[in-house]
Amino acid sequence: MAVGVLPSVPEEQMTWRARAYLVIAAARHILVGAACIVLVADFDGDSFQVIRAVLPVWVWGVAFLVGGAHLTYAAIRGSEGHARVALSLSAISTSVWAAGFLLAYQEGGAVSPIGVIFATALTAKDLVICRQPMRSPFEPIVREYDEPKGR
Amino acid sequence: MSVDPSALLLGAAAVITAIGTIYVNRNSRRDQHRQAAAAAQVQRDQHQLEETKQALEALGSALTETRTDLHEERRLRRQAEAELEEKKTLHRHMYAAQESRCLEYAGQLTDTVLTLRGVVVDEIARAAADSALRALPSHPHDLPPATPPALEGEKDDPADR
Repeated sequence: MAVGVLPSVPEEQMTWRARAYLVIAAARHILVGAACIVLVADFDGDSFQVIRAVLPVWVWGVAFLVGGAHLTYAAIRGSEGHARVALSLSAISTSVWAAGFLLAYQEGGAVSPIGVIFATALTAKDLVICRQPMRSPFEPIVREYDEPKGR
Repeated sequence: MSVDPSALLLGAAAVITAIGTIYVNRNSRRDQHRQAAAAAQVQRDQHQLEETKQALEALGSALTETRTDLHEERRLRRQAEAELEEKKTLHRHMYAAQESRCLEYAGQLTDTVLTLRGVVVDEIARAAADSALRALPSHPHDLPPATPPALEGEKDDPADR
């Protein structure tokens, strides 16, 4: 979605920092998705009432699993475009859950705003990672200085 | 047909977040392009620096070679100057020796000339004397006896006085 409107950047090897963040985000999505599918009964709390009202929990689970798979693929392949799309989708889905937690808290179902805080923080982290370069153009130069080739 | 307001709110959150992701992704790509340009500039500068370094190294080696040649040339020049000075000294000694010998010869020549002149003078004088003697009339003793006319003059001979 976002790739089409973005200018092209020559592909280079993705930094390990970006790969690590993608792997962590993928693990989060896969675990949440698996919990939504396997432990559907655990999402009966009032904190999820708005989320459940919009889409069934298992659908959320499938969405999170797909997002986690996409993040894993982007991390393994080192594709910046896939990583940006996957992180953008992760931010969108997490922000939707943050809005659901917020509405549940305002309606009085949720007893604490912790879910809102955590989900919003995760959304902000995804956006920050999208804002920062997925790869550093200076890395080849730094690697050349660290491990000179042919000298 | 009624729409759940919660779904609307969640949809609005999704749209806002999607717009935010597009915005941050565009900014990120722009920064990445700037960094790529800076990295390319760094690589170009690095390449130029490498070329300059190689040129400086070549210049340094050429300078070292020139300095070595200059030192060798100076050494040869000093050696040639020393040889020239040695030859000059030798020539001075030879000149002084020749000059003294010339002076000696000149002295000897002068002595010889003086001697020769004396001899010549003597010879000339002798020759002149001989000529004079030959030109002289015969000695009275060689002449036949005659009546000395000088009897009259004997009175005036002072030796007789």
